[in-house]
Amino acid sequence: MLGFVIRRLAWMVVTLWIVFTVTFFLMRSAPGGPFSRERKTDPLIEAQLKRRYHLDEPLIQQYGRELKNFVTLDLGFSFKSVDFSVNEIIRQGLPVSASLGIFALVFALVLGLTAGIFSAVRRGSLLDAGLMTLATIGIAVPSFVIASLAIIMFVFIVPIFPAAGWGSLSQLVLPALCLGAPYAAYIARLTRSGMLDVLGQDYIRTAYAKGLPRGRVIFRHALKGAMLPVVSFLGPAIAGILTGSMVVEQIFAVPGLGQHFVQAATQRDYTLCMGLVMLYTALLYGMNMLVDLTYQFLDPRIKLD
Amino acid sequence: MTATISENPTAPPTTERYAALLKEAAAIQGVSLGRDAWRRLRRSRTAMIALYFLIAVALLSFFTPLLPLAAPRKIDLKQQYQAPHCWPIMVHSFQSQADDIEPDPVGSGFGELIPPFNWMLALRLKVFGNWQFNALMGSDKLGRDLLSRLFWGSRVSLVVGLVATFVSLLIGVSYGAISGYIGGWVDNAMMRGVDILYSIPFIFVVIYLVTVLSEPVIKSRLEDWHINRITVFFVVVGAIYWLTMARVVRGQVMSLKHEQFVEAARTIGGGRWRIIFRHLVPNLWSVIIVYLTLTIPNVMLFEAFLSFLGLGVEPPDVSWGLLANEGIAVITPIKTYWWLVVYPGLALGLTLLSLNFLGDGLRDALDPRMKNK
Amino acid sequence: MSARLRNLFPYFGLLLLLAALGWAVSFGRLPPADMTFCNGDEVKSLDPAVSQSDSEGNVLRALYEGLCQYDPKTLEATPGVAESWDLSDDKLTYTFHLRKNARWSDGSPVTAEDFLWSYRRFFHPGTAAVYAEEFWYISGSKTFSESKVAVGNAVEVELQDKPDDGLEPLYGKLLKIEEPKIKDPDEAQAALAKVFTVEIGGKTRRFTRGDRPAAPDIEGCKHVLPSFDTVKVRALDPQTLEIKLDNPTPYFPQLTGFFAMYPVNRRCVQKYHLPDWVRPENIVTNGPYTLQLRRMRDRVRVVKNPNYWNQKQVFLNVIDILPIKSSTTALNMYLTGQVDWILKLPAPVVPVLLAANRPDYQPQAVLGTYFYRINCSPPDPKATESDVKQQIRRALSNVLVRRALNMAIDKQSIVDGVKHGRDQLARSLVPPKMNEYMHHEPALCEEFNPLAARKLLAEAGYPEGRGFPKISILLNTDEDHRAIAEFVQSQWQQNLRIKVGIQEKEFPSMNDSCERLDYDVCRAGWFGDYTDSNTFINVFKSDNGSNQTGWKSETYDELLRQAHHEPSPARRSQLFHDAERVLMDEMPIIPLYFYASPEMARTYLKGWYPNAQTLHPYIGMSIDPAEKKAVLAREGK
Repeated sequence: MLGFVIRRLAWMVVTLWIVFTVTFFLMRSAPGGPFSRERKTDPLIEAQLKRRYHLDEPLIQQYGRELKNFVTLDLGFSFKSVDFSVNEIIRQGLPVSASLGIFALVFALVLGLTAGIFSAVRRGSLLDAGLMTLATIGIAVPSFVIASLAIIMFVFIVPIFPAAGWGSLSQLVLPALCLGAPYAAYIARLTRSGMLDVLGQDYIRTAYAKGLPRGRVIFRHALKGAMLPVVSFLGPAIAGILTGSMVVEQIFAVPGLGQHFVQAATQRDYTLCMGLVMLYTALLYGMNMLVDLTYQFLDPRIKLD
Repeated sequence: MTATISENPTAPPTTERYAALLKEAAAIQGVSLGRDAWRRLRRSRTAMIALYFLIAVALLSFFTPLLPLAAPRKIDLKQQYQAPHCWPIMVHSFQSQADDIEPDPVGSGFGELIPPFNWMLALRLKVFGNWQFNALMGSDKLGRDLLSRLFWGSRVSLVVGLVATFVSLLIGVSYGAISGYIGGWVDNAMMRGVDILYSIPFIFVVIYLVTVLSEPVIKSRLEDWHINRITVFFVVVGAIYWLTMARVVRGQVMSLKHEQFVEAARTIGGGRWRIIFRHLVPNLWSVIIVYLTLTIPNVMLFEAFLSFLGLGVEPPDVSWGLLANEGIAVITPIKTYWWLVVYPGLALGLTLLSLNFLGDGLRDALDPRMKNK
Repeated sequence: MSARLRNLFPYFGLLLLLAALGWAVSFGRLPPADMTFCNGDEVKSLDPAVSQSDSEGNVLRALYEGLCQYDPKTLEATPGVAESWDLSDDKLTYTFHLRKNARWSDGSPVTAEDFLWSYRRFFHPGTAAVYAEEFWYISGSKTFSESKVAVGNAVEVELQDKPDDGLEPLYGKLLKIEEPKIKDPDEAQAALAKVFTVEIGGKTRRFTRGDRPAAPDIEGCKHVLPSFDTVKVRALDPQTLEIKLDNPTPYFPQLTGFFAMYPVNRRCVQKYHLPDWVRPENIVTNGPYTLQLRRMRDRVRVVKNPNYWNQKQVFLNVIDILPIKSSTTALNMYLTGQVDWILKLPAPVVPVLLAANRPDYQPQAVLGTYFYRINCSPPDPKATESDVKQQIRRALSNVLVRRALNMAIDKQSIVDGVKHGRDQLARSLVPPKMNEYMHHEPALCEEFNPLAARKLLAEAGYPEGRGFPKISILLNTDEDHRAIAEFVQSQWQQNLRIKVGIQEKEFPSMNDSCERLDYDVCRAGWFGDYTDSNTFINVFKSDNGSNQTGWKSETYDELLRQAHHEPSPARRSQLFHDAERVLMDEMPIIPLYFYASPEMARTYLKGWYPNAQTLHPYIGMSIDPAEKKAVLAREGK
């Protein structure tokens, strides 16, 4: 297993390097640099500005410098938010996004698993149909619509949560619910089908035949097998929750990274773009690796390559 | 075939015998995999309802220019925020403009239409004259008819979903099939490539590309080739959503490539590409169809997401994502023009719901374990 | 992998999840602020010289104080750091008397030297202050900002090894300027090749700008500027600052309260440099508040400055400034009592609020005009016929086309339909509200007349819009702007039969395109920076950086020049009117409507008054917690 981890980490380095290179040249090749907004009065001032960000050097030298800085985790100053360094922006935003994401994920898991198990156990019942329709709606409606309706519901009609902002637990609940809702729906559907698959297998029949109580069979024997598709979904889900938070962050005015993500891309804040892309790439890769590891814990038949 | 011959080596192969064999085979062939699946699909009520609904949506959106709807781009500030009113169903308010549409489509509120849609519009004006549906779904902030905008918006949304998915299909299937069939280090390298691409935050890439491509310099160049942002969008999205498809197809091809029919094709001298695309890919269609019904909703949601960021279709074009986004702008605690969010939400939601249900049904129906059940 | 370990795994997972959850909810809690408001957008910088938007102004106003301040109702100049000022008889020299008890937040006194140094930094070309040209009223400042040096004059030279914002020059006398033999056609590039011979401390040294001198005896330098002594700002003593202007400028005291002109602390800036000096732990300010916390996209928190001279009038101890972009989110927060004042409302609620006649929403006309810029830059004569961009330039540089575009828009419908009667139809650049401050008779552009518009377009060579290239309206992403653009789009398509697209960008990118003249038609808004017509008319002077239309008129410039020298208010007004007439005849802009204040502020927020510039000093603002509770309770929150 150690070998697996080491191999994957090596690949991670390669991945990061490739993504870095592609992002670097993609951004530099776009027309209109990040400073085109500064007035063109004095070329020296522009040069000075460019020097601050080392844009005056040949491209390959810039690349080398940026790569070196990236390796030492110094991401430089943001091009647009001139008072902040990229590291600072990430340091401020990441904990917020992470809190929101973890909350959303826990919510999605708890709700999704519960609904999925209930549906599967009571297959064909009204409860099953209701839960699954709800889950499909959760997938089918855009998150910004869900968020807006949730605000009207839980802020104004039944005033239990604050409208927006950040800083207290109550402000976290609504955005986390809206962010987690579609994933809860996916997880519910996956759990249900996984559960149904497992429940039809011989070892479950054996367990019942041995006279084990139903709850024990479901939670001790079946659930672990049914979790497999859920776990493999978690990798992309975490990625989605991390990057997908931008809608929710904007509607609920949450100071996370999601909003920076969009702004950096639309305003061509090279350094911030680069920092965020690399951060997300590392996170995604890490999560996918974790998922593969988890897989092995859950299913002894799976061999890591 | 070999078995048949070896069974009875002495009997001379006569034409009658072959004819009989063929006849027998034709009788057995009766239940193909496809027909069997269709039979099972028909038994699932939700999947069938979903299918009919989708067919209806597709037909309606294709034939939208024929329907007596208000002009989707016609702004009438006096009709602002009109709540839905259903009586009378048809009104006469469409002020002629039959001549408006023929000579110059720009000012007509329908936009420029390419054949055959402009013929449809002309036909509609001949048939219905100045009659059009009342504001059955109310009107928006500029007094435009929501019903009409929903219909015209469906065209953009559906096309985006279909084309992007098709692009992803094309890339994904070819990539996966080639990788799986060739195997060895090529497969290894190609799959590592997919792994790396999986780790890129693609939302970012799309936003960045869409931003860059809507720069005037590039945009005007693209417009010379009649490419607008929405075209760019589905190509980009299609080029991204192929990753999962490639993985799935590769897995399938790996398991299929040692099957006898592939060996047979190879024995008779079928080339590598011929085997991949003529023999292997057609055997993957069940996977592909299921995947299709699940990718289209994703793409449509993504389009809505881009509309939310202001990077979706450009007015006066309209899409469901744009409508939903305009809808949430009018949900405020002080005043809610509910129809502006409910109807686009419903249209989008029901379509995606149907696609999901259909996808579920198809997956069950095409499941080989369910064969002949 | 042992089975035991595998069985433990779910518990590991659970533990991990719980730990993460614990961490997620354990973020620090801030005590609530006394007053909170939604500021439209994230502030880019807290350096006054770098700042450029009103949302930055809203933060800077809390942190700094200029020579003068504004009266919260009338916007007249009131004493700030200067307790009084005198104006010479020729109306050109202001003498500001600084108060002795004005202090920086580190306790040191605010002196005339501080202002002198800050103004030098503000006008310095290296700072590239966006607002610098708005303050070229001060004698010599323009020459300094544009680094125009002449032989024989005193100059200052900044060497390469000094920090970028370091203002530690060498002083000397310019002896000679050598131009290169082959002159670069690009003027700016040519300037870089000049060699300056300067006598410094008795020695003759040669300089060229940039870091790649052409010869070994030439030194590279950053700037060769006229000595700042040529800028007519003098610190006569620590408490007296004398400023000489080129022309009579009746609104100058008001201008000294403008946020870009706030003083910065020299020791702080020179010790930490940009951007570190604006960090909460380093920044030294002289305003009613000091910076406590700045988290991007979350808030700027300012707390009462214990060293501020007028502490008695500062009633709110802590103010939170939230960068909320979405007006719906802001409204939600306002209605639930999370914030006390919002700057913007979502359009659909406006008619409802107006009908309800809420005491906290009484929109007033402000000094602001909403208009469309038209890119009038001429086509490139070398370009081919088929080049779409050049076709657009050819069309839009035609005054008949621009007039037709203006006449084809039913502005009343925009005002009634999109703005719900809150704002007022515009047919001139200067808003009628200006009449409250000075007599200004507006020069009007043509009225809505689709038939005449079509005729004009035909006259321009595009009958029925035939042959007219597709143009696009550029705007920053916003529901209201989009609605207006869609309306204008349909009007032009209907009335002129031309094809129009809409392009949306984030505000900075839109601004960027405007400055580069890389647009066809662009949405714009201009708010007066002071209560004088000049703040509007001056924008479209040929060399003004905010012109951004490519439109140049010598007549216009000349009329403005005369107005600037004109001491008689009546004649000055007439000159402004004449200039506006030129503008409205040539239509590089299409005025659409005059803004009404979109703000909404709670009635319990005392000391907040609606005014013509939506500019609200924090001094004197207060909130009675009991009243706040009562008001919110009445609304059921």
